[in-house]
Amino acid sequence: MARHMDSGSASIAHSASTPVLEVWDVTKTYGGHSATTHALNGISLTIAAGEFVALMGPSGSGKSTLLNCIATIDAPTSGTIMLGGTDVSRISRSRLADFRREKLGFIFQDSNLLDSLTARENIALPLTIGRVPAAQIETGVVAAASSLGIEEVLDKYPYQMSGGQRQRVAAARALVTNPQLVLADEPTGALDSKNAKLLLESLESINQARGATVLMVTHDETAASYCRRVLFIRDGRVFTELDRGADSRHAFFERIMQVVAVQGGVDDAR
Amino acid sequence: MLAKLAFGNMRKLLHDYAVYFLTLVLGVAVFYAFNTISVQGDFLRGDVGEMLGAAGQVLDGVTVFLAVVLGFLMVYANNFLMRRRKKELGLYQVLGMRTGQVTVVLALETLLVAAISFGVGIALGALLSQVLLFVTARMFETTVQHFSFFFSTDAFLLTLRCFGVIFAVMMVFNWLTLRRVRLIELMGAARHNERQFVRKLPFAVILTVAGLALIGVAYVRLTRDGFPTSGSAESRNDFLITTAMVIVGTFVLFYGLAGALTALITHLRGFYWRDLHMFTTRQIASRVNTTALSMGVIALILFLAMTAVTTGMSICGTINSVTRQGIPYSASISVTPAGDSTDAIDLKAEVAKAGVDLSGVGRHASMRVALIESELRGDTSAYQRMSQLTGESVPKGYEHVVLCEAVGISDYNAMRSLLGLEPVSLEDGHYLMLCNMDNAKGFVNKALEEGFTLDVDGVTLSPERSTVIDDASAVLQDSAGGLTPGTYVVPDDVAKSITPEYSAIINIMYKGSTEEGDAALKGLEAALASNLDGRAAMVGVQTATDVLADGTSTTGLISYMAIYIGFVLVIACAAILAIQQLSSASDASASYRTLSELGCSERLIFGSLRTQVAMAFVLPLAVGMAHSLCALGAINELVSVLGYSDMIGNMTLGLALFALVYGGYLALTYRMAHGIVRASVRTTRRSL
Repeated sequence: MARHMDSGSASIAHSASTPVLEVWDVTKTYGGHSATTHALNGISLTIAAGEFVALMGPSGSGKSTLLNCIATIDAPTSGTIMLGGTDVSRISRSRLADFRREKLGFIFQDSNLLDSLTARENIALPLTIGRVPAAQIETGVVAAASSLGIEEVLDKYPYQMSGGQRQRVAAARALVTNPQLVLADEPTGALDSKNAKLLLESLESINQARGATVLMVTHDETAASYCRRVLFIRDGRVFTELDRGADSRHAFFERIMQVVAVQGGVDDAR
Repeated sequence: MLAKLAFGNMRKLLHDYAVYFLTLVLGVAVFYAFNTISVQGDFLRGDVGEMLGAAGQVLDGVTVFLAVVLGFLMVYANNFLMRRRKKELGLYQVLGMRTGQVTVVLALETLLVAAISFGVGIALGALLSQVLLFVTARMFETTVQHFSFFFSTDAFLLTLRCFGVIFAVMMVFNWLTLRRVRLIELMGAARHNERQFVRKLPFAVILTVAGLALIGVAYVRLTRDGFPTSGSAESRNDFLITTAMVIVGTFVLFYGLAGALTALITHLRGFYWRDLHMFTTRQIASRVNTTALSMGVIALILFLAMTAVTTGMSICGTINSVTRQGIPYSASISVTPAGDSTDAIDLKAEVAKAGVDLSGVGRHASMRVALIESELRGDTSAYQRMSQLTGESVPKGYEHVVLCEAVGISDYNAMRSLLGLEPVSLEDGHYLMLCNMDNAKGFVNKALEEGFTLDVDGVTLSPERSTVIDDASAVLQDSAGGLTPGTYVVPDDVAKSITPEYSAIINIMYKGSTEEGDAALKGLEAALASNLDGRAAMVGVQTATDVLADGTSTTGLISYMAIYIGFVLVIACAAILAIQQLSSASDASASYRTLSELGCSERLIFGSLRTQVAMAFVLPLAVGMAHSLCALGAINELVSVLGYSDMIGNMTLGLALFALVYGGYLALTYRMAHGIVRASVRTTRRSL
């Protein structure tokens, strides 16, 4: 497997203006010689600290592959992914788990809470694994919970909560380590519109109040409209991107809809 | 098409549920091997062979018991699998298969599974039965005389019939499961946040304390009262109450345990909030809570199994050694005169009259055993008087022992020389004590040291030695018991003065082979009995061969069954635990993946899994073992009254075998759970 190694990247990574995430010319190829699939086709993107970015694209556009690569669960065929100044391809296998725990936070479509633990314990999990002292765990959990408005469910079990509450507990769990990047994979996919709105407002508020950097993969234009920037992916590369600027959420939503319509039109024309 | 589906499913099951298969195979193997016992007799010494062959009735009973246990186990395992496959079965129906077709697929699967596990099981059982033959031989202290590979058609057919019924029952259950559930449940069976059964903390602690208290009181009661040997209704009721307390206590304990343990560990904040301790604790608590009932049942079954195996092993061992101890002579002839008869019987002359030339049979010595009547009629027994003298309490079970037999020193020395022992000397006015019961020796020695005296018709005798004689000569004649709590050896004139005569004994050491000697004495008992009709109350001719056969037959066989049943129960328990653990590991596999994604190292994940599996096996085992140790203590006391002293030594082998089976299942379960979890941790999430 050939991998592009830029020896200069490490020095750039440590400067003050460094973005949290840099994806440079990343490709990912599946299959052998006869039937090769290019899931990622030289994609590049940058996310700065404190950004709230949506990643949109149709099925098969490569967004899942990209997220897997960023999440260090999969490795790109070529190209470089820099996370917080570290080239993730250079992290040894034994350090990967620690790296994920310290630098990344995950929110999945189904909340993936552990059934046998209370909300408090679920949120605390990344800290206990990281051997943070018990007293600090307590304050960290309460802080993360209050920023998502779920203090009242802290001592409940997953089966006692609503879907929206579960998803916000999962968000709190992703935040509790103060990760450099929160990766949210279709976080509203399993929620009704009211709970989806609550969760998105929570993500918006943690982005603004706690300065958390969030990269959210979504199909839903409404969900994307809560973000500051939307990247559209197709055929393994960034097709276009929108910046919310000073627009209202509603105006931004209309612009996103237009891009999606054009994208659909291109598909139809082919 | 349906056959192809069934075949594919079976291969998948074979891979995913190896423990299920292992259990089916072991069930068949154990069942077949057990039923070859009557065939095994053909390879063993005549009497053991006869005994095993004649044990048909006992065997039938145990066979039914085994079939029920194994049937229950298999149906349980099968139902467990069905619950786990609900979604798959729902999918078939969503895709448009009719219920009937799904039933056919399931029936084909069951047939395939049955055929494979039956085939492998019989093969394994055939091997097992060859090994078992040598175990049987060792247990009954005999040797395999002409070994060749054997296969029992009877056992095979019986196994086939029995498992045919079990597999049919499994099919019926599958069909019922399929009929009863609704499609929506089948499809929705996969993803739900599992409801957690959490008992309120104070309640859990109260339950645990109550459970422990009940068990503790029951232990005290059992240790104090022992088993109900007296047979009185009162002691039986007491014992039943004790048993009920243990059973109720065990269940109450398991119902409260999870909550109480969680409470305890939660308070160790530094421990609880570190690594995966929180997760491990909660998972175990959740398992114990949802399976409290089955854990209680398993603990009690393990208790029964351990007690059965260890007691069986040790009784088998001690019977063999006691029996050997009881037959120092090749044969013994004894006659007890009838109560109203005043004339002594000349046993030697009677034997000659019956047509047996004793000197032709071998060396022999005759003896007159007298009965000290004052001892029989006295208000206090010899042991009680000894206790008063020394201040030691009478060993348990010996409270009413009467020492009344006395032999003269000349007769005794003649017997010693027959056995090849040096003669002993006895001064006038003294006596010697024969005693070979381990539990009583120390007590009697103490009394001899203190100068315990014997009064015979106005003559007072004091001990010649301060210790009892416990060599082979303590046994006056061949018998199955072979143990005496105390026999006096007195000066000849004293012995002669004691009337009436209790019995006349002739002990023989064959000069030729055992077969020749036994043949020479054959028919002597009947001849003596008819000649002495009216004059003798009891006539007996015991050869060592007879005693050995009698001694090992009844109790030995029961012990053998106890061991067998014990092992089947252990296998059943271990298999149920293994299936539960594997399904819980696969239920929790999503959780393990989440943990991995949250950045938890595999070392921590597998450490947690190891603790969970180990606890599931160890918790019921610990409770069962505690019960068992307490019960074995009481059994040991009971059995040692009969003279079997070296229980602990014999138990070790039983416990080792037990640990091997149980530990083997534990290790296998962990390996398989490890595989399930590793697969889920290392597969990437599709949706991400």
